[in-house]
Amino acid sequence: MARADKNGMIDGYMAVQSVRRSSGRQQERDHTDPSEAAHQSSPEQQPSQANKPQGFGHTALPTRHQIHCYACGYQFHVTGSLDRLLCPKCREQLHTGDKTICGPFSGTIQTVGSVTIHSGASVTDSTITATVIRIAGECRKTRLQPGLRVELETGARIDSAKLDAVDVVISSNQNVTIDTELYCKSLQLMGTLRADVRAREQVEIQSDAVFHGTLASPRLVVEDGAALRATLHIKPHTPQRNDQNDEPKG
Amino acid sequence: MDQTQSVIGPDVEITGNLKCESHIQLNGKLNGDLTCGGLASIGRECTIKGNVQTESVALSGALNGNITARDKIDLKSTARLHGDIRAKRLTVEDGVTFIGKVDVNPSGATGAKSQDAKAAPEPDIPSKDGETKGLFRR
Repeated sequence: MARADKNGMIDGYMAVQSVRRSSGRQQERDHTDPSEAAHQSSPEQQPSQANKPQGFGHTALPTRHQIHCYACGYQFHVTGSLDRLLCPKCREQLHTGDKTICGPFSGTIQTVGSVTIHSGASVTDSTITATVIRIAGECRKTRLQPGLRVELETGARIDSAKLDAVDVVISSNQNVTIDTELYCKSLQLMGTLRADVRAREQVEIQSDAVFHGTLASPRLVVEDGAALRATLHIKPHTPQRNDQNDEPKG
Repeated sequence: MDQTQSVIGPDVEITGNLKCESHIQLNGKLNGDLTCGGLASIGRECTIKGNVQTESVALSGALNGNITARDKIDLKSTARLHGDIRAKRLTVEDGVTFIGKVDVNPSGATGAKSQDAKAAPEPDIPSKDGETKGLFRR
């Protein structure tokens, strides 16, 4: 039983100590000499300590959330629950719930959580602001403002131009086909994609990914194991020269 | 398996086709086709104008032609490739310049991974005079 302090409160440290005492561990929190500590941690001592019952395998840490304020754009971290969340910069009270769209929808959604557009749902003439936006349905004439990324899932149909400044992720086991050109900031492909992709920054194709179509990007990374059947135009941005002379071709 | 490796220095310029059975490391200039039975390492200062057919290739320099590898193509960060590639495996590092078509299928069979993909045409065999032809018919 954990010993309460004079105020009758039991904190986490006291709880850890009580569990250690109950499990029979002899190493208490008494201060020891560094020489003794080194002697105790020597390899010769390990077998005897290994026979003792184990205490904690790890320490459970609260969830750490990365928050992107939709009012001012400030990014910060919050540890623990998100019951009441205020932006430390603009003091805006932020909505934290995850939203799910299963049918026709037209409107505005603002949250620091995630928004999921299920397969069969249709979103038109809307503005969606969330940390993560998952799209498995139809999304037309909709302004998407993700704090982190947009995840395209099997069955997603989107207006390609609306992802121009967005990081797009296609997870493994997802099979996405986009009939129009896909403009995005960056693309991380772990599943299957059939599209004509125009990325402004980088395209990353991981192992087990499959890509069909055309790809234009200044940067490309392909991992071993990926399958590609595509036309590529990968040309890194070169710094402007004052004399504007072309590099001589070898 | 210990295989011998041929090394072409950076001050060497070869005009014509180059063929070797084992590994080769090119650091010079080649105006012609390269056929290698092992690993072809194309150095950063190397420039090739022609097609490459090899078991596997690690490209760090410039290549103006097509690459056909039975195993793996590894494009390093300094690679500059203008042409088509076909291999079983492909890795591309950040910083590569690549303009062309790619057909990479880790399963080994042509078009086997994707059932609805068009069947890939057979790669053109480079002509004897070293003329570069595309792998994909237009």
